[in-house]
Amino acid sequence: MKLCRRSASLALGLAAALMLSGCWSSNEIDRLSVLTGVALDRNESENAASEGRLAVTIQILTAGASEPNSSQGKSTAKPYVNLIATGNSVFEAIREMSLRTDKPPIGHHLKAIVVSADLAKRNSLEHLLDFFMRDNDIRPGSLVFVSSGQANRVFELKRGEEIPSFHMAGITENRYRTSKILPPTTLGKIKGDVKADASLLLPNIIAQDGKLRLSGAGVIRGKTKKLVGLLSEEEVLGVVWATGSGKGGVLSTIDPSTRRPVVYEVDSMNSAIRSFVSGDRVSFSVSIRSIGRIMENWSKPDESSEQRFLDRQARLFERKISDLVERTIEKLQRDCKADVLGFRDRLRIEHPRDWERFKSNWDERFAQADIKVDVRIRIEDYGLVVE
Amino acid sequence: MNTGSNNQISTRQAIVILINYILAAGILTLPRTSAEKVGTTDVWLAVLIGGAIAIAAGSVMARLSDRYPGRTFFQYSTVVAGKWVGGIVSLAMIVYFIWISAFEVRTMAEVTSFFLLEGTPNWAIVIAFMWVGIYLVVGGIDPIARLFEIVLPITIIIFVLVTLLSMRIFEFQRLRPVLGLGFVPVLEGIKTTTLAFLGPEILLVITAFMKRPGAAIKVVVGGVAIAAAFYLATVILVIGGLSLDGARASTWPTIDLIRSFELQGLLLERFDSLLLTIWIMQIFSTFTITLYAAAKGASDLFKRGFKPFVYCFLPIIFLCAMMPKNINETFQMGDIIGNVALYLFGVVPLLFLGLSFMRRRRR
Amino acid sequence: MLRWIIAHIPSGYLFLQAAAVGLVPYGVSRVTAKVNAMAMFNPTMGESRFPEDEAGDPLTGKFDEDLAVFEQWIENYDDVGIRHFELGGDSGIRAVVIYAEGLSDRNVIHRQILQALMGGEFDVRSTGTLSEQVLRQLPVLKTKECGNIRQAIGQVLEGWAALIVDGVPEAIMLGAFKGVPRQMDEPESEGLIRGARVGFNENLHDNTAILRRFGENQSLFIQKMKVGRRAKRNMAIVYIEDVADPKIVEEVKSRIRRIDLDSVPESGYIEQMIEDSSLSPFPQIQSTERPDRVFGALMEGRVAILLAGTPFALIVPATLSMFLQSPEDYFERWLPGTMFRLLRFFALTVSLLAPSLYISFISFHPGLIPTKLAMSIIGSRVNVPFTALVEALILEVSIELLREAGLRLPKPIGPAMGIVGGLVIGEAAVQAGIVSPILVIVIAVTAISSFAIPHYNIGLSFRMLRFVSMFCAGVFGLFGVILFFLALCIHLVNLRSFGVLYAGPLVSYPFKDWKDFLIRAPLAAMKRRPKILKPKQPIRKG
Repeated sequence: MKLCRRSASLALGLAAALMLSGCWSSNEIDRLSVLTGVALDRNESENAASEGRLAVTIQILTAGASEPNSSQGKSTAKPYVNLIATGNSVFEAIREMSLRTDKPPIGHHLKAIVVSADLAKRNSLEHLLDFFMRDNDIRPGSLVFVSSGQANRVFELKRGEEIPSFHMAGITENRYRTSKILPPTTLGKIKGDVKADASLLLPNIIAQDGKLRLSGAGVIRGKTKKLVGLLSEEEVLGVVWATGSGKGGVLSTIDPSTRRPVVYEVDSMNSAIRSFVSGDRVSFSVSIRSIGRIMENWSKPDESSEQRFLDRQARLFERKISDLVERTIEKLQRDCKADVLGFRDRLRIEHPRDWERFKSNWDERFAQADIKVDVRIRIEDYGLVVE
Repeated sequence: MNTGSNNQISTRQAIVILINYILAAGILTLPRTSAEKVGTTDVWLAVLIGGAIAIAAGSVMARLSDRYPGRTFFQYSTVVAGKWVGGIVSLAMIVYFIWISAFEVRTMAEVTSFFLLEGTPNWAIVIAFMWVGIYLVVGGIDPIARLFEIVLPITIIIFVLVTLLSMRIFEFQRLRPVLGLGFVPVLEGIKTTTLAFLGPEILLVITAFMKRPGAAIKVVVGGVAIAAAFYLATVILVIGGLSLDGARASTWPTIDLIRSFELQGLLLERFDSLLLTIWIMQIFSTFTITLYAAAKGASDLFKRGFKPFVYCFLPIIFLCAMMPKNINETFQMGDIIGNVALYLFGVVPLLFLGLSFMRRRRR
Repeated sequence: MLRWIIAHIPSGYLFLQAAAVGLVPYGVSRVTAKVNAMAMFNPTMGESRFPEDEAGDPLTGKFDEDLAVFEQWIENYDDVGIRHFELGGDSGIRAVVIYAEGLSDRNVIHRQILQALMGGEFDVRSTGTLSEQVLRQLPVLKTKECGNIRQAIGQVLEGWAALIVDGVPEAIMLGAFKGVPRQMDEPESEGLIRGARVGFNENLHDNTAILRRFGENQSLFIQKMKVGRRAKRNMAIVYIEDVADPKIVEEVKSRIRRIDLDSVPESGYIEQMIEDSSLSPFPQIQSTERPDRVFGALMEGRVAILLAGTPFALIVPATLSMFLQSPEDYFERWLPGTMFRLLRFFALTVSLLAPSLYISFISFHPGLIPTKLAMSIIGSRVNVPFTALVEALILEVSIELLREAGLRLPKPIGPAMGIVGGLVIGEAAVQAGIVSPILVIVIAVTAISSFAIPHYNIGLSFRMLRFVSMFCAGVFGLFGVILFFLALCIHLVNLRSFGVLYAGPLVSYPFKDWKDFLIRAPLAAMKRRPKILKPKQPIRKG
């Protein structure tokens, strides 16, 4: 009996200890606010010196808007709120938000980080993103963009019910429809590139009439990790072709004989880069192969489905692609001096010992490299129309 | 009727114990530590060689234990090397087992409090973990073997699932070139990778319980080979998924890898919880088997009961685990343990084996 | 170096915690050891109490003296009747029949005993002793002799009729039992779509007979014993002699012999007295009303225990896996059998872990659930004032109450109550913002899953454990759930039922047994009996 009482009191004590001290980290999901996007801008107000040079916009979801059973009477309120804070560091600014909302923001569901081009030109990307790479909540899968305009503008959409940061993540998934989109640049990937001093491209997202648009890309040079230039949409297309990273998309060109457009749909594309080293000179050859079909043809000759016609069209597209790629490479070599096409990787793989010599100032050396482009296209079919 | 355990384990169970012991903190950190040391994409080669070395060292220990069937190292060490030397070596091993136990617990606490329970004090995590552990250890080797048999298939299934999913960000390019800078970088990493295979030393204890002690070498080869497959897959996938520099830049590269991708449309989009689950289970098994080895060693050495030592070692392990002041010191602690292990289990068993042959011959 | 060491000496608080780390489990182990010792049968006692039953008043052979003793005995048994008569015709030999009202069949006593004896011819000088002559005249199937008044009375109270004849030194016991007929209906708690519509009933003989009816089998041994000190009851141990491990049979017998209880009203008493660990949340003995289940278990080498007066048979040794099997698995073709079995394992996991995973995701790890799901959970929980643990407890407890109430209610009201409780209260609770609709789904799925487990008593275990896991999740989140799972597994691998590992085929990898574990292999492929039971005859001979 005595034993019973003793064990009961022991058990009670243990339970009480657990209950009282327990649940340290428990924090109900609805008492938190979900952070889905962050935009980094330069603080341009007059007293930037005292407020801090960064203007950080965070986008958090509002709880009421995500209510599933709001079928009766659609809420006109936006499902998100944007908060702006300033500070000299990102973390400081984000923690500053806690002064303004009753629910602490959590970063687990962060989808997009947008850095304004203006900021990226002056600051190293490594420093700007440092907090995001260190934090334990934020996932390495979050996407990073630059914005040639003001970064926080892209978090305001005209259509209220859409959440901009989700929208951004969605756009990058359209790679099989257009080849003007780069492979997603996640935080994790950037972490590796930054550590390796490799140059990289960040997709450029802009707000156009209150709508989002992916438009070109920003070039970050490996050494300084600062933005050194912006690529246009055409140039991004060149990058995609040069790296063979596209999943699909269209390419149109003008048939010189009829002066009418012909459109080619990419089924597969693929590029093989080979590197050659002789002494201190480095040269590369890029050979691009693609298979696809003709999906729209305005120039309608009588010999349409004949092999000769197809061959002629293929040559046209080949010329167009090599034009695109060469122009892009030229821009990267001359204006940006940044190798974002993966030439460094080929050199590392094919000439590891030479790479060890070159890697410290690779981007400069890349700017001097000879690059040959060779394109082959095979048109396999011409849709459902036989002319 | 004897409903208790007969304290014998089959060869298969011994292999399972060995695998569970080897797989521990290394799953999460090996890609980083080895990438740091090797510096080229040949990390996987270093892992393979490390495994081979572990098999060699393990075979020595297996052979040694095989010569004294039914007895643990702590029982026969005094016979082989005399009372003093044998006693001191045994004591060193007991201390080693306690330290490695503490190290595993600490690493577990670090990761858990970083990724799962931010804000919960470390001691609470550690205490809860240790209490569950002691429940297993007091049962002896038999329940330990059986629990490991439940844990291992779960580990394999989840690990294969998670790694297959991570193929979506895998790029083979990141693993090339092979031996681009020659073999020297690989050599640099061998020590690190060998230390990931700490574990065959458990044979000094469990061979005594094996139904067929002669199969101890089979256990070493089988256990280390399967563990090597795990490590190899981890290293290859992490470097192929994050690139060499990405692996070098993250504290827990394997978790980073799993966190880097999401699968839309499933019940679970994110798989780091699964990885952490099996990892905690693996740490748990390493913790329990080392605690068992330490307590068993002490009870054999001092010829006292087994359970009192288990209860005594628990607070000691707790204190050792709480000692490092930050994560760097934790990793340092791991390095020190590794260096000690190199001598204790690389060199000493070889000497003992030689001594034991000499003694036999003289007689 | 010294500075380093000094800097790393832990603080006093840490030493306190360290002490707790060691002492608490030590204390717990001492307490559980004590509790276990208290709750377990005492292995040193028993055995010795059977001789005392032999003692008692022996029959003297003198009719009047014996009769007086008998009358003295039955003085207080108003339900025991005594009928004086004289043997056949005019022999003048006095006799009495002592019988218990209601237990003995009046018709048998009238026609087969009294009529036969009164109308028979008895001659003192004819061949054979008087008792032989009496027995020759009696058209009664079951007779035996008894030389002890106390025993004879005991047997009368079981339904025998005692015949005492002047000049016969022993009492002649006549089997004149009155059967309590009950249909062998299909048991309600273990219904099947396909399978014999037969269940055990309260009659031991009927029950053993059903087992015999499964097919002629000379090695099906049925051994009867008695349990209970004051109220003795018949029970039978059933096993197949050339299959079952003799060690297990012996262990069962010795444990039953050690049962020291006043009475054994139900087989649950036996179960609790002979189980290995009374602190375990798991049933270590399977109880069932289905003869086909018992027979299947016998064929695997297990031992069955049947008790008179209850339709529940016990099967030992039990393993966890057999609680998830249903006879139907074998009656249906193997593919659906396998599917349903996998489904049940899934149901088991869900019923154990679903609420605790909900708690840990909602209140600890919002980052581990998909973003869209997180959004809808946040939306649905906006108005809920409780933490996830409290919220889940409210619903779980009310579901358990509902289940309990449903058992008590008269049958026609039960379903109505379910509807009122489940639908109306659930809907109202969501409307009132006490619980979130997603939790209602989680709990409902949990409840459904727990009904999918084919055994009521293992379902009970998991219901209890579910609450434990919820608390673990409430304190440590997913980490707590992992620890809970590990602790559960540790308990399982330590648990044995009659020397057989409870976790069964899950551990020590008897791969051959896995044909009948997670999957149900085609019958032709299951050539062997489960290895873990160490059957004498390992190959199923078809």
